[in-house]
Amino acid sequence: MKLPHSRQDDAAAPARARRGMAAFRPQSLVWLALAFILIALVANPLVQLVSISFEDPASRGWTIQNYIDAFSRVRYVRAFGNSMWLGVCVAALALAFGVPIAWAVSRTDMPMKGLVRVLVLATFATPPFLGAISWILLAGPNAGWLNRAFVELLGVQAGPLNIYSFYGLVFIIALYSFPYAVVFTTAALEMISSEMEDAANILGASRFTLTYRVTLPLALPAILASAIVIYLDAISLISSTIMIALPARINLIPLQLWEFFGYPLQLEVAAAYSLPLLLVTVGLFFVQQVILGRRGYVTLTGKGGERRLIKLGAYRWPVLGFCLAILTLSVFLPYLVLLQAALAKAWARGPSLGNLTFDNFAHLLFQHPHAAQSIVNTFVYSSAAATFAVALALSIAYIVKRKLVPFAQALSIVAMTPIVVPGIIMAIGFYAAYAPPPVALAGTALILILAFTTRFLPVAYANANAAIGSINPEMEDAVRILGGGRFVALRRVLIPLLKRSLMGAWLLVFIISSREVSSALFLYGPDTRTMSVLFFDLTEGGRFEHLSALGVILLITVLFFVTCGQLLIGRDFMLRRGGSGG
Amino acid sequence: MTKLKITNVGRDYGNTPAVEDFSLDIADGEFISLLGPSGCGKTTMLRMIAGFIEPSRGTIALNGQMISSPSAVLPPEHRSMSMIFQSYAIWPNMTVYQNVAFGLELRKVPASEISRRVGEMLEVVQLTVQASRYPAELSGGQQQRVALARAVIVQPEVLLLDEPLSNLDANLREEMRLEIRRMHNEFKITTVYVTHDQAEAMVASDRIVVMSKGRVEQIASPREIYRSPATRFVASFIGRTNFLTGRRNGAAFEFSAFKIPSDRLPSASERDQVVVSLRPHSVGVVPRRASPPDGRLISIDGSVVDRAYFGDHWDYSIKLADDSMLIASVEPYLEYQIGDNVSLDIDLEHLSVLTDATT
Repeated sequence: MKLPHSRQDDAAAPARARRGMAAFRPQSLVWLALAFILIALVANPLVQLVSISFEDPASRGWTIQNYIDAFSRVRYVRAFGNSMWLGVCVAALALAFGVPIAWAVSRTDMPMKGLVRVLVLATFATPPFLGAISWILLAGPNAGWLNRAFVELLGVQAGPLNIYSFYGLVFIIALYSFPYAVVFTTAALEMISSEMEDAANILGASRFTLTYRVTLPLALPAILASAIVIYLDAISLISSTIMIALPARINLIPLQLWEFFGYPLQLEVAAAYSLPLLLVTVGLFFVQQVILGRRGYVTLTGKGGERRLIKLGAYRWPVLGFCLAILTLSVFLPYLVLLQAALAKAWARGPSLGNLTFDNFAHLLFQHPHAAQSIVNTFVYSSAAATFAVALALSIAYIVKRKLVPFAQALSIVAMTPIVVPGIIMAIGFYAAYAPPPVALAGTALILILAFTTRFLPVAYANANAAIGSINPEMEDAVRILGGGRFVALRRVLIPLLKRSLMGAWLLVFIISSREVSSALFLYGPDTRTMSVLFFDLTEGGRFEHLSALGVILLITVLFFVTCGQLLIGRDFMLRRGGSGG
Repeated sequence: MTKLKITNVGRDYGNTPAVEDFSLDIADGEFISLLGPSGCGKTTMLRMIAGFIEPSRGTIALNGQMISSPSAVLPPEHRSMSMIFQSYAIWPNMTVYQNVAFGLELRKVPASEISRRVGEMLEVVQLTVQASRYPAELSGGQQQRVALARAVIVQPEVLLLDEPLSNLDANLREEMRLEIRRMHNEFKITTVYVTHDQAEAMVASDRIVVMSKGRVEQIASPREIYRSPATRFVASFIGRTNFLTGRRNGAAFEFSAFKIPSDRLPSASERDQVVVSLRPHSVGVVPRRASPPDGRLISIDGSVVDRAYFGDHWDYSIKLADDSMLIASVEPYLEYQIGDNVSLDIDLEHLSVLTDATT
């Protein structure tokens, strides 16, 4: 929409009009301010990343030496190959876990679906590195609980499991990323009308032919899309990778970046090394968009029509057994061993009253030099990032949705860009842009908060956009025509109506910030450790009991806020249904 | 006295004009309807009056003061208008009372007066009992009345309505149509009403502006719009009609199966060819008679080829001597069989010459 100029060539216009017309101007200022913030948060780090990858660290001149350094050693190139293969294996395993669960929950009469759903959510909420530490306790060579159980039960010499291996890592990552497959597949399956299946039925297809020939192919685009998300997540995941692959001496992209980032710092080489990963991510992201866009018609027809559940009969229990087995691996067993270790004097001695102690928690909270501080930091940074991200996302979404300024759409594209940038790459860009003088934010709280804000801006934006989109612009028009300005409309109508969805978005960003590892690990300073950073500090030379205690604190925090969000969004959902009126 | 003066207003989206050259003077207290199919530009025009959209061309003045021009637009909040929206736009976070009181609050009316006036208004729209309810707890018709009360209570300079009845079911729509007119009669607020429903426009309006594809087709009273449609579009959009084409031959226009002396169609005196609109209700169907009637009626012979019974009337498709067809609607007791030879009586007063069509 074109902005009216404030040119006053009409002398007869009333003074009131003049004041009113002049009031239109601040919108362009707001646009400029938002554009500036977005450039600083999103564009500049990426530009810096690319620019320093071509920069000679000594002379500051132009060079391609960084790329030669980054890809000249076999070890470095092999890390790339390893990561790509890791991604494929993780995606395949996660689909094997997730797709059957999605099918069982959304299309069959399997019992205890509510429990399965809650456990999938719990899996989703569990930080992957907590899963990793638990599985080290469970399947570490020799001392792992499962290995000891094998020895006990089968009388073998040594347990067969070794989590410190390539496929151990595949298993750990898949175990905590399969919820993506469940979420995507369920969404697609719930959109497929029973009539489509009836159409095949009437032509003579049996129940299972139907599932393989009609239902699953219809959900295939969504399944592929989830596979891409899982793949991208796996190749840039640093947390579990450090805990498993580093001891196992398997080199992977995130580890290689971590090495370049260590001592001596080779920032320029790290930047050069990360660019191919960024290209892979961006490319696959667009492939995913195409898949969802092209074949997404199934999921986009809106009304799925009536759906009837497939009667599993006697198969109900094996299907439930499968779901619960996987969720036992991802939730029950890990939580159990984590809690046991956190409350144990020595975790390997097993659960007994004599082994029970709260010293680990006491040690962390009262004696450890960084732990208490890290808990406070986590809350402060995550709240700040969530507040900034939601406020920024809301402003941009509002301006875009209401077409207040020309080229508003450009803002939304920039706001969504971080979704294609892996956290470690974002962190390197942030470091390159803001760590050195003149900005000199290295090791400050601000750089962490800004990095979290940027990294999760797309989450906040998608939420804010959907929330504003659900509100008819006429609600605001009605305020304005009755004599209220845009800000009255925002304050009295829009914000009250959006309150719950915005709180939901805030909680979401808070939760994912509080467990963020990749950007934190590259940007923290001596006084700005977060809980997840401290976690990695403790893995080097720390005791498993302390590590577990910290894990329990983190897990309780996350689960508490997830529960809050569930309650809030649930209530919000009910309110919205009633509030939309006739 | 002219309340709202709209002069040569146009609005483009890209290169497509949504509204072309719209001019209208609206008198104080007048009820104007903008009528047309969806996409005709009527809502765009209404939103330009409200100040939500700025015009690409032309000006709008309220009480003689410029409020919209391509160079400057007074924002909606400073126009002292109010509006009823298609979605009602009742604020779900406020009670009925708070919704209605909102406009007065913004006008800094003292609290005691607000409560008195809101109380009175809720009585007028019969929502006193529901004052403390939230909109979600109201029926569609009640929500509609909240919107009405909220808009009227501020005593706006101009009341704007954007298809306010389109979400209601047929019975309620009828009731609300009369309610809106009743409110207009009671408060004498200058009103601009946008609708695609000709019945709504007919019942409520002093004048109707018929629009099509961004252009004004005709501005006239409901009766005139129906009886003397100016264009082919108006004639076919409002009610049903027959189009008949005639060519000048000396002192008469020759139509397919009959002639009309050219002095009987004064508005076509300069033309070689005319298109007239003839409403099916204006055609009388009588048994075939030998001699033509006198006076203003002309008579055409034809035969019934199809018929449909609607309860309150018969529709007959009549084939004329040259095989052209004409629809006639007559009283339900005038029954003819297919194949009957009949005569059609046409009152020339009911023929209207269309200004835009020559073929």
